[in-house]
Amino acid sequence: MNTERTAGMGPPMVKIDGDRVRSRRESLGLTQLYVATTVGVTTDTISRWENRRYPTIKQENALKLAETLEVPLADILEQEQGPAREEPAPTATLAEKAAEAEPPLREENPPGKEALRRPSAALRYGLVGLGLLVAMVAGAALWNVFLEDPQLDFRVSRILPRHAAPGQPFPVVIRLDTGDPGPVSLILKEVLPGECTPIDAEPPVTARDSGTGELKWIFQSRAENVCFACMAKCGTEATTGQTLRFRGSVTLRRDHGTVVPVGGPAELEVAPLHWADGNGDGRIDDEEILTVYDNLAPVHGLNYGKEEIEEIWSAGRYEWDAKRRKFLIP
Amino acid sequence: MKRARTNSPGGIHNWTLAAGLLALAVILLLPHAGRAGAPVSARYVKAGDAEIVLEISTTSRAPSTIIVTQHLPGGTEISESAPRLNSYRREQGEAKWLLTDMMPGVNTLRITLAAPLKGAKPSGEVRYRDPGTGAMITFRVSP
Repeated sequence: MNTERTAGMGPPMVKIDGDRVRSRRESLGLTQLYVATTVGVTTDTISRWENRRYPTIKQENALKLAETLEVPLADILEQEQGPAREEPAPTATLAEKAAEAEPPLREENPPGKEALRRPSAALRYGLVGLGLLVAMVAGAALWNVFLEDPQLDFRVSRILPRHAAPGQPFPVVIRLDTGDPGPVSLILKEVLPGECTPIDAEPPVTARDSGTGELKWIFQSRAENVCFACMAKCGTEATTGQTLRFRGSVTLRRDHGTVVPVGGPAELEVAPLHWADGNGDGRIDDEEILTVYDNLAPVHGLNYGKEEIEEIWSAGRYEWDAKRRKFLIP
Repeated sequence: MKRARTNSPGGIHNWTLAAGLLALAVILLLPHAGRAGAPVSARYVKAGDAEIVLEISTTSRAPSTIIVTQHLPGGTEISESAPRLNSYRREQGEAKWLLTDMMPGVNTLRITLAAPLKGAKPSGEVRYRDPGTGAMITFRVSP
């Protein structure tokens, strides 16, 4: 027996054969945790014994180990010649020695079985985060489909000249972007200032209130972009410098009757200038005539004075005859 | 110990400068290259003797209204034009067309002069508002 006790050198130590210990343990189907609990050491200590990291162990522990493995002590000792020298484990530290006496902390995976591994904390948090993100995206999509206000896609704006001469017609154009190519039922109301009189409209108005100056179109559009226009005549009693104010609104049937005000310019100044002369320099230049055509191109059938505008543009200038209240083209 | 490789600040600046110069070159060349693919383009088919023929090509993205100006030597007399000119200032030699209701395709503008141009070359100018942005576009045409 590889046992030696040297006087004054501590408890008797023996050399065990780690391979034999492991082999016997596994043949019995015992875990390192069970063996450690029975012997009274940690599972790390059992692992080190089996891996020969401790050349010698206390005889007391060896006896307990042999009893646990149900074999004589000699069966787990190293079969070597010569006495075993008592020596501490080469890498043993105070912490490791203290751990040898500690009760086992956890059960080691039983041999021959696949242990179920719990996912790491990082992976768990990552999965939770991903799940939250997916839920947020799904929620936003549902909100967009069922709860979003459809008015967000609807725009209505007015195109109005900066000025108009007394007794002269000028256009009022209202553009709708319904955001819906399908049939859209709507009611457009445009209130002209009291000094103005409507003389033509495209499409034709459904109703007109001469008292309030309100024009009403009840319309069903079949395009995303719809254009309404009317030619209004500035009253001869309007004075230069006077501001004429316009207001309007659109009601869409699909939005449960929500009323949307008409955006864009809402004021026009009375001045002895042609409405197409945007900068009021006494002529209609290339940019101004192109703007007129672009703004009124969607309006078909409206007489907005195209010939006069082209004539002024070709001539290069015009003058205002205040007495006869008309434009003179040289 | 092996030194870790890092991008030196000077190296990054050189690449940035090169990329910026390349982008600038593309931008400067774009108006010329883009004109071929622009919604409106023009070219002289004939610009000599007593006849000037200017071809205007438009795509489906073109505006509905275009202004074409033909610059001639001052005092040049025009016998006829097709289509009819909207205006002609003889003293300045400025002839203008206002082309409306434009459809995709090629439009030919023809001017017949009372007398051939003697050594002088005409030039043209095309103006329109970009349908998408509303910006005023002007480009010159030379024979």
